[in-house]
Amino acid sequence: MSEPLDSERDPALWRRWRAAAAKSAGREMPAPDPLLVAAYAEGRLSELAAERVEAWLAEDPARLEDVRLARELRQGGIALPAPEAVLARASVLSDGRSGKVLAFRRPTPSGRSWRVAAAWGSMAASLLVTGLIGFALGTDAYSSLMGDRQEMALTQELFDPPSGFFSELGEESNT
Amino acid sequence: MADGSELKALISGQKGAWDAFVRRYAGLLLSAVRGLVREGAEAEDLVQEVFVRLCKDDFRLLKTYDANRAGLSTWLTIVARSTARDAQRRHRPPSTAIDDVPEMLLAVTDVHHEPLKLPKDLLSPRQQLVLTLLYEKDMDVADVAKSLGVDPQTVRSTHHKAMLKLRAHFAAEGG
Repeated sequence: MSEPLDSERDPALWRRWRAAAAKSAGREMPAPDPLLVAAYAEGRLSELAAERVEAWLAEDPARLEDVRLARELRQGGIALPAPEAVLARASVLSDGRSGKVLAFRRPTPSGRSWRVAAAWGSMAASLLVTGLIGFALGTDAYSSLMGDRQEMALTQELFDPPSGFFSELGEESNT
Repeated sequence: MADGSELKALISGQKGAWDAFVRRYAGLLLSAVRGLVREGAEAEDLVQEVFVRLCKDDFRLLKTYDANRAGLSTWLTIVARSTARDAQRRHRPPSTAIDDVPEMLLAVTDVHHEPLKLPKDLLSPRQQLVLTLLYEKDMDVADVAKSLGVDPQTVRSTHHKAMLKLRAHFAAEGG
């Protein structure tokens, strides 16, 4: 009869073992042939061959999810429906005569992003041009309207008794 | 499942056989890469990559498949998952999210130094795998049993035997 798993000693012992094993570990174990892993998933391996796969799985336990999924899909797990675009792209991969692979890739997002950037760029440029034209027109109109007013203000200041030129001249002649 | 004659026709370069193969297995491949990449364009690109791998170099990879050793859908799932993991490695910086690191590996208080003399075969690959899943992946016995395709009692017994070995080893080491 096995003892309960949740004792505190067991995980601690495993941690010690794992730490020591990590220090003395050599090279990473190469991935086994996919056919060997598939045979393991189906329980078709001898004990010795299964141990080889399990040694690899112990090093990289995330791979166990691959085995589990393979088993699930084989046992009738529902496969997703493939979109027509996926079928069309894969269909042209082989030319049907020599097994030659033909390049046929989905348009990359970078091409699309260039088009978007160009559209925004042209919009910004047209706004800038419009702004410049408006500014130039406004400046001309202001100058033509304010030119006379500036002259009048100067004359008024010249003849203004408290501070104007003639007022100062009068003061000088008085003294 | 594609039978031997269909695969032969496919490998000999018959376009119709390739199209039938694509139509039959594209959904399975899409399901296989699910969870490893984002659904949508990224998953579809990966499915395309799997098909490219299968048929490139005159169907070199597909020719390694042996129906006597594993089912085609199981093998294709493993190939697809492996392709997806390779793609992940290519596209991601070599870092690990802190949530993915087992808590025990983040501990900094344990300064116990183990001698680098570990008996290589102290734990069998299955025992190592069971302890890894229980103590690093925090899986329960039922989950481990399901993943390994064995009954829970086998997992408990494997754990028990492994712990006996570890206790004996560390007792002999003076720990």
